[in-house]
Amino acid sequence: MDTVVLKNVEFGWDNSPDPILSIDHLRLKKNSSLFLQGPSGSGKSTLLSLLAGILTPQTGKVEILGKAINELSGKQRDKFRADHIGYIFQMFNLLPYLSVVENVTLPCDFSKYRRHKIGSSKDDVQNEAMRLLDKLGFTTSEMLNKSVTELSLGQQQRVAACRALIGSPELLIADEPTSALDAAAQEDFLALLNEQCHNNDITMIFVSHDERLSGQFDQVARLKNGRVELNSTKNATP
Amino acid sequence: MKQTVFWLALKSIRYRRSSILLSIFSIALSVMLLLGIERIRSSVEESFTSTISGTDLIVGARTGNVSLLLSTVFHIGNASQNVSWTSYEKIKKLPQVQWTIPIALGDSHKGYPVVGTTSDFFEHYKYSAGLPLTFKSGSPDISGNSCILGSQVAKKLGYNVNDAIVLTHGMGSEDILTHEKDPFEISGVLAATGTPVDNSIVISLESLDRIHDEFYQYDQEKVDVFGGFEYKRHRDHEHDHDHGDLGSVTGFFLGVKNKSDILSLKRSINDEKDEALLAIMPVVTLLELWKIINPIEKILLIISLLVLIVSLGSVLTAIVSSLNQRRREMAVLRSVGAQPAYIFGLIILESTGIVVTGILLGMAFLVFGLFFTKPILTENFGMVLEIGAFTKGELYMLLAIFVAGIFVGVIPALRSYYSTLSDGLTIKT
Repeated sequence: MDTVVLKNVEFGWDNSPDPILSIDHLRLKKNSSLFLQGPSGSGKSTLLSLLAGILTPQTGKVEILGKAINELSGKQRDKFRADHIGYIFQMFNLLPYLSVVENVTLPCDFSKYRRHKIGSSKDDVQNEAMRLLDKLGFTTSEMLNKSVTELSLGQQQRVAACRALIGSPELLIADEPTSALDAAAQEDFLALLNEQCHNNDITMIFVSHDERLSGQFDQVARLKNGRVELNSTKNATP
Repeated sequence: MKQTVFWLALKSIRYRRSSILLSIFSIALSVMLLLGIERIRSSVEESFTSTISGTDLIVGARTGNVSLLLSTVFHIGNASQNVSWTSYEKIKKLPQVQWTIPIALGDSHKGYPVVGTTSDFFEHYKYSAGLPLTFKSGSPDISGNSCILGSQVAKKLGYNVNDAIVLTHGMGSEDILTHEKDPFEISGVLAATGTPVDNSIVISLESLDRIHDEFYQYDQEKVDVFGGFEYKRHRDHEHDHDHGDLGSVTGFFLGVKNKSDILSLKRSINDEKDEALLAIMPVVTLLELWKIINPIEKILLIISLLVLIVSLGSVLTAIVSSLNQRRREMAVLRSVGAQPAYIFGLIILESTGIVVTGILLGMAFLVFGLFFTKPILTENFGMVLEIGAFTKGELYMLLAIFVAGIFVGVIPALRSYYSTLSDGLTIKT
């Protein structure tokens, strides 16, 4: 089963006649990765909101894991998102009043499904958070005990990645997560993210305007004036 | 999930504690101000309408109700007629009457009225909720040339027990016609009451008579100072066989043995054939008088309402401005699956918490504030504020603040509800 299928999707704001997004077809296989590139105003954030079930299209179908989420109610979409989608923002991902570990386990507070994937007890969730943090370079307890506002931007983004990965959601959406990082940190971050997604059967949609990163993805898509142009890369299977 | 709502709300509040504390503090101050003004408002009416209590009737020469009250209780204006000693004695001896306090006015000291009376004054004069007069210093001795000062007189003029003062004839503040041959010695100073007693000097009827006697002898020897004006406190010559006989009085306060006799006694005094007399019930006339001056009360009420509006405005500002800083937080919560309804609840919970804490703190502030300022207010302004329990009216006001606070919290909560829907996961700030 494909993770994402978009069919004849059109979206426009109520007060404008032209759709700002119009996608005939877009398909993402399980455990694949998509590099999505597009200048600002190309409809990028609209596409991400449609995929996350925050917005619904006027026409067409948004299918995630075989479920047409545009047909669900708002409440059901919120639950669906909590259960199946991890999300990383460009920056300021973390809640400053929570500890590093609490930030990572946050999705498990909202989703029983993701919590039960990890284990039955609270300790299991804690341990999983520690395991992910360890994988993403938080090897010393000193780093864990820091307030999240004291972490560097790169560290903050890695904590955000752990949060998106915990409980292995089937889809991970990363909205320019590396734009605030320097080149070396970008490569590192992306490599870690790719590795984790691959190991946990997570399909990833990665948005960036930096084309140099596109080589690490199965598919590359460009958004232009609300339309998607697909280019396959290395091991692409259209 | 329910647990998560509380847990996150608490953590978030703790993180922003300084700005939230400021909001709570500003609400607490507003609540304190509102309740404080309300206390003053109610105590102004309360202390005014209970300027005199426990006295069933006030009797004087026939005049208007209000003017009799003003002259005998507030010492404002001069009664043009007096009550003869005969009538006073006659009414005093009526079987229904338990006690009387004669009041003779006319002299002053530096503008403060002198009240000629008997020691019954200290025993039977009650104010507020039936409080008796108490002494700050000295003793209730008005025999001979002793006098008692009200608290304000002693304070403003800086007098102490055993000081000597000279009374002035009439109400002028200039000491032209003084009873300088007869200085009085202060034997006691009354505690503050918040009534006109604070501004008066109490002497005995006998000494008042005596100084006037001497005054008129002096007067007749030298010049006719008053140009034929017969001073109203003339002796009653029909009874001059008795040395201790006294002249007429301005009026008198009266207490009955049985409350059910008040109306019939009042009627019979008003129908008195020998002398034109008027008996009034002080409670009724005080309320009449209060109606004349109660625009003050309305002004205070308007001030209270304005304070309330301003304080709710500050709650709204605090919550709205904190929300603008928290749009990111809202987007993060939505991205992990929080429903807009959850975020709505989060904000309502927080604003309700702020309002409730602010109200409770404000009540505490008021009680503490009153506790510390009560003696100062009583001493300097003669204002007796009750610390006691919160009245029904005050609790309704607090309830209004609470309800309005929740409404005020709904505005930003609704705003964030719709903005989290339309903002989606893109954060614009």
